Amino acid sequence: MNLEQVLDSVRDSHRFMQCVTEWREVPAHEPALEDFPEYIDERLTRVLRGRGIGKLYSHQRSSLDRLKNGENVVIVTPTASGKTLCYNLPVLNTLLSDKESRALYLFPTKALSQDQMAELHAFVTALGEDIRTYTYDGDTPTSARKAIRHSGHVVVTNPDMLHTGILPHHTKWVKLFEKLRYVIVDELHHYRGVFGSHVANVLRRLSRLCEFYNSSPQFICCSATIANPVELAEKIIGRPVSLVDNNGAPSGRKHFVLYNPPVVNRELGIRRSVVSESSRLAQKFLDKNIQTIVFGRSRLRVEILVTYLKEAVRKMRKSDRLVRGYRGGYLPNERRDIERGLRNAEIMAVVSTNALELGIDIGELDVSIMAGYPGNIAGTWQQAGRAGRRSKVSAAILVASSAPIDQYLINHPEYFFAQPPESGIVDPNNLVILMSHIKCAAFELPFRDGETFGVDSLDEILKFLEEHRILRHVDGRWHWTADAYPAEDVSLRSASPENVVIIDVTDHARVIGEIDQQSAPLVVYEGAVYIHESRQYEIEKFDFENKKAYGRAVDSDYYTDAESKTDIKVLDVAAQAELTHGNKAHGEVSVTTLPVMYKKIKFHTHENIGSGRIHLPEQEMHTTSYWMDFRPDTIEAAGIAEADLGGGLKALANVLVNVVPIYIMCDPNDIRSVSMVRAPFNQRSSIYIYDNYPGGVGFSQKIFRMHDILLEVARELISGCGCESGCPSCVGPSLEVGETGKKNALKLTEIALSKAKGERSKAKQEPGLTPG
Amino acid sequence: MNIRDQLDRYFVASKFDATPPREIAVTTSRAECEHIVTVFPSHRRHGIFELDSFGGVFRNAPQMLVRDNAGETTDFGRIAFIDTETTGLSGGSGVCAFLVGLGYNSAKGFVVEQFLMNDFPTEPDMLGRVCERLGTFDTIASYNGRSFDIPILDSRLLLNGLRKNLSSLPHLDLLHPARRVWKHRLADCSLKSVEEHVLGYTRDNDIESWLIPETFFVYLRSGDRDLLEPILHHNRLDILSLACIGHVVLAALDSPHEAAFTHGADWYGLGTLFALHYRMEEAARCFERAMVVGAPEHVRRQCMKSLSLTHKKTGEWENAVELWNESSAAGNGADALFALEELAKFYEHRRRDLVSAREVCRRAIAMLEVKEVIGGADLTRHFGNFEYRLKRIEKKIRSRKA
Repeated sequence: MNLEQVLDSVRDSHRFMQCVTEWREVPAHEPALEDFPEYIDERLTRVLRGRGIGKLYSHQRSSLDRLKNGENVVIVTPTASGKTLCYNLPVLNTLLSDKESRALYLFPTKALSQDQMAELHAFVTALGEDIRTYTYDGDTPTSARKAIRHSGHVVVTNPDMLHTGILPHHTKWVKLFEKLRYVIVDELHHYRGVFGSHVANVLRRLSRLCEFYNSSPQFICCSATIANPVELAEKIIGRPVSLVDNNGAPSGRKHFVLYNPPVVNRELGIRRSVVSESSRLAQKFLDKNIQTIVFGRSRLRVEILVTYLKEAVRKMRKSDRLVRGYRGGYLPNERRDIERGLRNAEIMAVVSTNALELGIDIGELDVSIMAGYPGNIAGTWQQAGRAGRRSKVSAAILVASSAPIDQYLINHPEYFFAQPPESGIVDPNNLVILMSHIKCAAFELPFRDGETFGVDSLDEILKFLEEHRILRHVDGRWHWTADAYPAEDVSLRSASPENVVIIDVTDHARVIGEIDQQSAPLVVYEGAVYIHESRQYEIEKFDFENKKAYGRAVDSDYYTDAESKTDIKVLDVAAQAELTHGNKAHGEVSVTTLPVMYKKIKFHTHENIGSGRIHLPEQEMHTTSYWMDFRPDTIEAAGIAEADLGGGLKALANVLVNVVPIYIMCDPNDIRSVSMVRAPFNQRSSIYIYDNYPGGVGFSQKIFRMHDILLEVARELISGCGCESGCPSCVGPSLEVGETGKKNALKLTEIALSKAKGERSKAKQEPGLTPG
Repeated sequence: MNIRDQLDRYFVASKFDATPPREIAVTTSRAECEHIVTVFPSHRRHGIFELDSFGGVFRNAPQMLVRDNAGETTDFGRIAFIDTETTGLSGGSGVCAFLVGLGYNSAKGFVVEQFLMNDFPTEPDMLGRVCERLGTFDTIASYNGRSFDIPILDSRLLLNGLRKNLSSLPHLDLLHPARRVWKHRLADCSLKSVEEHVLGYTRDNDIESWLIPETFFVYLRSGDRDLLEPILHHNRLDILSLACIGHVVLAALDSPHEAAFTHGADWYGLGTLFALHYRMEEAARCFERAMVVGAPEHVRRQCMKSLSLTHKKTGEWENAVELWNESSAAGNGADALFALEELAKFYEHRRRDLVSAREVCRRAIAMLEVKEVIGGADLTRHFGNFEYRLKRIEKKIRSRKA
């Protein structure tokens, strides 16, 4: 049976179609073609014609023309639309006319850069010219590095390596910096939140060095479809860009199916689990030898899915090697092996986190199943795009989890098919991040008086660093005066540069994976069940100081889930607006988190079968937060009993933190909510949503501005949910928010949305470091 | 909250040394670096090394150790010994050399010229003068300068807009030969350790290397020039020791028979240095001296092995076989196995004495069987090796009979 037939058969199934909230056929897209411009070297067009490319897609031609015109571009087109050529072509064209010129390619992950490298290399080989393309990352052998620095025409790397390995050693890279003509920033939408704010600063440092070496490269950015590609690109690269979005690439017909698992308990609003539903769907395709990729939202979900699917193929009397997992934390050669297996169809199903949503070449798969909403719409389309990259019919199935955002979106398909709602938010001026990179920049090249590094407050910060003996100001320059290598202390991806390694001590000690230090207390606490390659390890000891967790292989029928307790204290109000019911505000806060306990949850049935305490120290963080509060009279007037207020606030906080990602691209870890009946700050009932990163990265300010629309979506979500008194798909289970939690959350939204005399804004002057 | 309060809130408590800075020194805009010249008279000794032995023209060392060596020979007086003191050890363009010392031999004695960057504005002057001075010599000599000092200087030259490149000059990095020669006796081959155990010189009140960057930073802030004296002194001693060690190495490579080595381990080390550069004759003589002088057991065994291999390479089979016989009779360790394997190869391929070759293989297998009973390392590979060899030899014997 081929894919069309399988789809026809499920379409005939009443049981299946009952769960389908939308089945959209995205029609095949005809190509829009244009001629090669006359300034493209004919050696290039000859190679392309040899590969059957006689014309360019319209967006490829547009980007070439804009670049020719001296502009920087951001290209926004779907997966598999030939984006790579948008940058390879101008780069190679320039290299053919000027052998001394150089290009720098940045990809968010190492895996991706290796893949792009292979493609570029094939192009160059076909060209038969002496153009050297090299990957330069942590895996590059020391012996090869010198040659790359001197003779690499195209250097392919990632922001982390640029940050720690290239910029601080720029004097060894003279050839690259002096002749740098292009900087390619692919997968731009990945540079958001903390990571994006760091990358923006890394590129500020790059630009500063280019100025020193008298080069002025053009930037070519590529992004998935988001609401603000130009704004994001301009913040990341710090210069104006021109948008190219006239996609001219053809695509095959694609079935896009939104699937909501059936309700099993209406009062509690419990649906069949997304994991078992996704696994069942995947088995349908696996059974017919249709190559399938399943995306799981979390590490844990991936491992559970791998376990289920391996069980299933064994029942089909096939080798369980047909099913593999793929996620961060697997070792590099393990990953390469899986990528190869997919390309030559030795692996029929792969279960992955979003690690594979990036353009890693795994060939053309037929079906993409998303076990839960991937967290953002751009990512959904990228994951869907992993199936059917060229002209074949393909299918993408989004299986909703019971999470509120999933439930909201599965019933509002217009979000997927209309204009993209979500913005990529970065704050390159986050003080903690900015400070780190100012130090790195000063190490690389002394600041001169009058430089700005993109901020007004540079002078203040340099003075501060001088007072703290990091810099010395003399003769108009700020020199580095510390015996340290600052880039080493700054990780672009998490709050702390160090990871916790997980060591299996079952036989002889061996490292099985790693996890960032911030998440570690909630994943590898003593008693936790850590799952790797569907094998379970019970954590016996977590050495917090030395960043090591020791586990022993076990065979348990449960997994564990941690809970923590959080307190929040307002330090400074950046902006505040009085509303009819109270205030909304954002500003700086101090958050303390204490991991408290964990629950043991049984596989398959998901019942709670026990718990344990977590003994780890409290962690404190300064960050930014949005908050809203309610005047006591408005709560009284709405008739919310004092005893039920806590549950109502918690319920609304739960909903809000879940609707934010519809408009702001962020990961579940990036924002957190806390509700309080009497907040210490002003004794009022309050809801806080804070940036889960020291100093904040701009989420809370954006939430402050989107206050109304977020509350409206929250109201719609709560009132649209069929459950009686709260469920995991709206305000959270009634166990957590109380019997009246749902009702009161709705009342609180009504209060918050009641418009009376209009908002009287009392916004204070924003401090210099936060963009207006 | 203004930027000041934010800075204090986010950073003071945790990451930075929060003690109030001392008064910041008034900086001069005088752009000239400080130049300090010290002469060590030739009648002096440095440890057991007599400075009047400095001098001479050397042939072997430059050929063996200096890449892109222009001349045939090197005049000791035309070598500039260089050592820098830096603001950090991490590498990267933010690390700078604030003191560059150059030492060379002259009629007056051994001269050390030091160029001191007393503040950042004098860095270009310091670098310029160092380059100019180095231009008057044939060769640079250093201790790990090829990968540390010179790249830092080159990087700072570039940062200061001076387009010069010291890494293209002929460079004799003494760290590598010193390691070859002395690593069998010394726990580490740092300059200090070689100075102490080879030159017999011990420093009093020397500043610890790791304190140097911070001391310099304190000087910058306080302007207290006295703080730099220990660093200047330390740098001069480094250069003097470097020159002495350099002379020992150069002399030993040119006339190994005259080298004043008293340890077998050092002779063995010198031999390995020759062997590395395919000078088998000299290597063999050094190994023989090592055996005569005597060395700790593990070095002696290594030496015997190396010596047998040099004999093998130069075709002195008799001598090689004698050593292998000695080793194979001496025990059942790795050396014995090595010797048996060499003997087997020798009888099978060179002497074409298949019966002896078979005998050697059988001995080896018997030895392995004993070792296996005693337990310990995995012997599979060795068993495989000798059994395979034995099988082949037996086959040859059979076919010869037939």
